[in-house]
Amino acid sequence: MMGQHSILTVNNLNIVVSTPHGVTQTVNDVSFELEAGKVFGLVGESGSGKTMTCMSLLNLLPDEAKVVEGSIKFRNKDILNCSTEDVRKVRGSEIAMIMQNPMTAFNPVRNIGCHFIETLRTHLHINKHQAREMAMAYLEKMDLPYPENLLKQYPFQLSGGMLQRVMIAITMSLNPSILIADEPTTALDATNQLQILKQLDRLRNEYNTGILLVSHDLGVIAQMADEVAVMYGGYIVEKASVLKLFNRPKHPYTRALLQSRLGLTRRKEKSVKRVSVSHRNLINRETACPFIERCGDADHTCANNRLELKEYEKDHLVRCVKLQ
Amino acid sequence: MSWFIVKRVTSLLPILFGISLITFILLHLTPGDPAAAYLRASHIPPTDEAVATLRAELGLDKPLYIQYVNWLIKVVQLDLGISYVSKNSVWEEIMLHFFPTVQLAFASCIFIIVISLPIGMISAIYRGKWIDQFSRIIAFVSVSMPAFWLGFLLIYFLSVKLDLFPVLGRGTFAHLVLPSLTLAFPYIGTYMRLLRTSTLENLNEPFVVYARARGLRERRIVSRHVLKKSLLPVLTGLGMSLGNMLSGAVIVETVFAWPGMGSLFITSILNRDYPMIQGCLLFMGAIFVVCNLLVDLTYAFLDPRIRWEGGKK
Repeated sequence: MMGQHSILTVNNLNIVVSTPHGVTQTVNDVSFELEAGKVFGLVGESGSGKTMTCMSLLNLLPDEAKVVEGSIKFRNKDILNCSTEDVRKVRGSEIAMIMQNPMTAFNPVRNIGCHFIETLRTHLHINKHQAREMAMAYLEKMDLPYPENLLKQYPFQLSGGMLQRVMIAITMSLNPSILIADEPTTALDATNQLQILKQLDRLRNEYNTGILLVSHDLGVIAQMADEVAVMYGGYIVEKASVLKLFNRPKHPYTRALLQSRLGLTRRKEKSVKRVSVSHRNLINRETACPFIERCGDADHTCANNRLELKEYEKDHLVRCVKLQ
Repeated sequence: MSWFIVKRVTSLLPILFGISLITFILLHLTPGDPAAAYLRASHIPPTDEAVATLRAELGLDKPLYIQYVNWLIKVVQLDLGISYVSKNSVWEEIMLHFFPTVQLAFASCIFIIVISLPIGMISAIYRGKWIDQFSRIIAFVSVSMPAFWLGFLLIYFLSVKLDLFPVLGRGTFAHLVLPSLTLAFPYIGTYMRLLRTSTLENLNEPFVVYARARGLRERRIVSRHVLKKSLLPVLTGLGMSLGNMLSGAVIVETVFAWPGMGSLFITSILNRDYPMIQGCLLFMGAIFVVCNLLVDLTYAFLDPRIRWEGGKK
């Protein structure tokens, strides 16, 4: 599991967010590795800490969020502790990011060319003309028609799918070793989703980019990922290769998640049950399993035992007291 | 873009027509007889007979709509009539007073931009730090301080005590500093806060996150991405304020004895100089309309979304 080729290593990451109602722990003890040419999928519902994890990889957490523990190592560089200028140089050129909503990721008052050219010129020593040529070449690679016109157009004149492809083109042009794709298909329709996934796949195959693919769409994950981690309540509750996770899910949450998918043959919809745990006040928030209130199998052992991500079998980690 | 300009300019014509109608009617609704006012201004006792003769002479005995049409025909030819007091052409009088006002207004605009834009941006970027608190105080003082008081304070300290600037009047560049600063001061606070708010809003936009994720330098993100978008609301306000300042800053012009539109307008009201009042009103209205047009055009220049909306047939 501890791959020799891992480019990015996240170890024991803990993030807290201060809100008007107090401090909340949004990411707990998250560890994973990204390897070249592999796709690591991160699944989970809204608020499970996926986006916070992504943002911390570029040291781009919002002001109210803070990493309190853990480390992020990119090729022996400590992302969380190196200078602002050093991180800035890594962003875009070494670790790139694709935003969730392409329609808002571009500045509405500047055209596509501005975005593309300024990104290239920030990282490469080229003049405007060279940057423009390069931008057109990469837009063409993304199967975007009339790249010359496209550069002059403004974000509101393009569709979400096109903007997402522009974003991928920008990413590609700098050939980063890691791409963070935070729900790249959520804001798009089915046709565009497929297009985008194809292009991401290309990025992985042609450029050997390691991709962190965040999604709550299990179909996307199943299609793309090599390894998957399921997040719940800020914890990684299960981590395994995509085949193992989809065929033999162990954690109750993963199982519920997989069951909730709509099948072609299934008539009755199953959903995650809300099970109230008796002796609710006995739950020790510090140590209790975050899934305890919705878990069908929960009992008092879940409330009081320290949770750890343990190897259930080789390369299959589960965070559940019942399975250990 | 040129289509956009044509569209905007043509839409001005009905507005200007409306202004002319309203100023004409308003003035004729106010109590007082223009003919009597004319006679008084010419130091002739307004006897009934003299008033009646003059009314016929000035066309004031005709029905109101004919008077209006006659006036409008002349206005279109840029003939705003003859002042009752100075017996000069109203148009020439306005032009004579308009240039000092333009000078004052533009100098004030420069003060507003040079002072409020950097402070507004910086206080947004260093939100909550001492510079932000300091700018809050400046803004508070600037909007609550009456112009005449500030004007006298500036005269007292900078002209009388320190002898840096001339006290009154118009002439050299130094004469311009105190009045324009006084005129600009209340606006400075407003625009500082306005820019701060819109910058803060934009700093949280996803496009800033994406710009950072692409590795852009913070200075570039602020100057190229955030500033341009944050300027839009400021610009709308600034255009209106420019219209305000161009149509005469009565108090500031009075304090500094500045021979501008404001003082011309006030004097003509005090003298009941009807053609002059009417001319000034129409002229100020036109200035406002033109300023709004300029704002629209700048807006379209800065924001492509508006440009395209106007460009589509």
